[in-house]
Amino acid sequence: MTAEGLGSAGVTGASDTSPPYTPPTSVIRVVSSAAVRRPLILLVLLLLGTAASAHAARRSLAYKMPANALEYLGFEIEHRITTEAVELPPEAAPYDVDGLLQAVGDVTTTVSGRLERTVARVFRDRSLGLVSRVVALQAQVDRGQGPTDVPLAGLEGKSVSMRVLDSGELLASVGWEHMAGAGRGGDLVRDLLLFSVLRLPYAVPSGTGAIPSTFRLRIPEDPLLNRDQAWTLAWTAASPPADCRRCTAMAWSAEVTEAAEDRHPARPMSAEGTATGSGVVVLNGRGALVAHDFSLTWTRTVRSHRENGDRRAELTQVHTVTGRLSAEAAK
Amino acid sequence: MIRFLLVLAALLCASSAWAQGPAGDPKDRLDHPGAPTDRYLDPGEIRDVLHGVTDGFYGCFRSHARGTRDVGDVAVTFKVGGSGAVEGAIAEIGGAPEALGPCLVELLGTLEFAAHDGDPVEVSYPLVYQVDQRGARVLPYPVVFTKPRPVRLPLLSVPLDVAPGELTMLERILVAPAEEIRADQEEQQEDASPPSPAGDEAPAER
Repeated sequence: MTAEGLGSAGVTGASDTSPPYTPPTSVIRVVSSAAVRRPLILLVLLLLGTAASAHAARRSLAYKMPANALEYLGFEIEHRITTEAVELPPEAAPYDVDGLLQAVGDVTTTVSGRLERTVARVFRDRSLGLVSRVVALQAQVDRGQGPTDVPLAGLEGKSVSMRVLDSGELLASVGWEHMAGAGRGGDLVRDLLLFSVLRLPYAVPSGTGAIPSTFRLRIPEDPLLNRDQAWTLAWTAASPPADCRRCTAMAWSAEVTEAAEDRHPARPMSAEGTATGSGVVVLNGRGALVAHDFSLTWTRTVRSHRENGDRRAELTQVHTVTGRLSAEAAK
Repeated sequence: MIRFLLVLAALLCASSAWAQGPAGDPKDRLDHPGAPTDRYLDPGEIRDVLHGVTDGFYGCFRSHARGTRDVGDVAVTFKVGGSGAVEGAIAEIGGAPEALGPCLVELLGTLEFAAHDGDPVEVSYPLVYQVDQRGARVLPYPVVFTKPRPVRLPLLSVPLDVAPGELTMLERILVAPAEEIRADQEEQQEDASPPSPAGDEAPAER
């Protein structure tokens, strides 16, 4: 019920012609007796104390996302991915493995574009339903002989919907399967999409102290594949850009672990990974994201399995993601 | 006194439950059909739109297939583009009169699906025209058939410009069953062996 509704209900009651309400004398007697008053006061104090501590524990740092408007975030990311074969199965014998490993061995991909984000829905628990779409994409691939343009048609315009608290805590997300898979480029924007709402610390770090933070993420890449990550971060104070008045800058350093198992019968694979990274988040005076510079280096071991569960092949990929996400003026 | 405390506790519990909001409602899912955060079409949404025009499909049959007791297998195939419009509609009319096809295609052209962010969705929908003692009617088929895009090696980061053949090779090495690899080898051997000397194709010298 709204405050207005409550108010009008009160007015209706006041205009009633019935005599004003007086509690029964027995109730007054019970409440005013010393034996009852003391525990009652204690109970009220206890409740007030609980409410006050809950309020104090509530986060003071939150993202401000504009309602009923598109938010534009430009980005530029560089991915360097090296792939090594640790173990290949006998099935590889008929194929040109050397040529294949040369094609995927050491590749740098640069992607630029824009993230269009909108608060599409506010849920009843006040969490936000964000739709983040990647557009105006350009990509170049470099194998050490100079960059070559490559199309990103499979990724252009794709979106991910995320349910987040205003602290950035990711509660659920959908849409990843439409950009997942080799040749689609979803792996090139996955970290970027997550960094667009990186979970903030409960307060702005100050001085030399660090604020620890830890959380888990589940990225449903396919109905049969979840990517589970555990993040441990340390937030420290950072200097905001000189031209950004009333801005807040926070630096983070992180260690991440990841585990994923593909339960699709045609892709019996699993992956384990660890990453270390760092970044700086800048928020403006109202809490809107101004910029996020980030760098993360993943080391992943990807295995494929036989029907009986035995290991069939093992590859190691080192994936360094370096990028920047920054707010653009409304179009 | 105890009753008073119980009422107080009940009020507190109720208010905290209200603050948390009701949980577990399917409408709270991000991809619940019709939710503003649902940016991709699922077969159920397509089926609902098609079921909504069952009378229209029947109208086509009534106009162009009246008196035909067995129309055979009739189905429509089309794509739903990003704007929600129907693209490339085709009607397979089985044993029905030719005029049925254009009518069905025209009807499909009027359909509007929800705009979506995915690739064009390929849809196939059977039309069941039944004539019996109760008369003629089109039965809404319970399923629409969509062609899902295969997700290839999602756990591996593969460069964008890797050739399709290289990607297939990677799949063969990592996950393909032995039969597929054997078939590949047989194909390669056939390609490598000289053409069989038969008929006009036979070489002049042996």
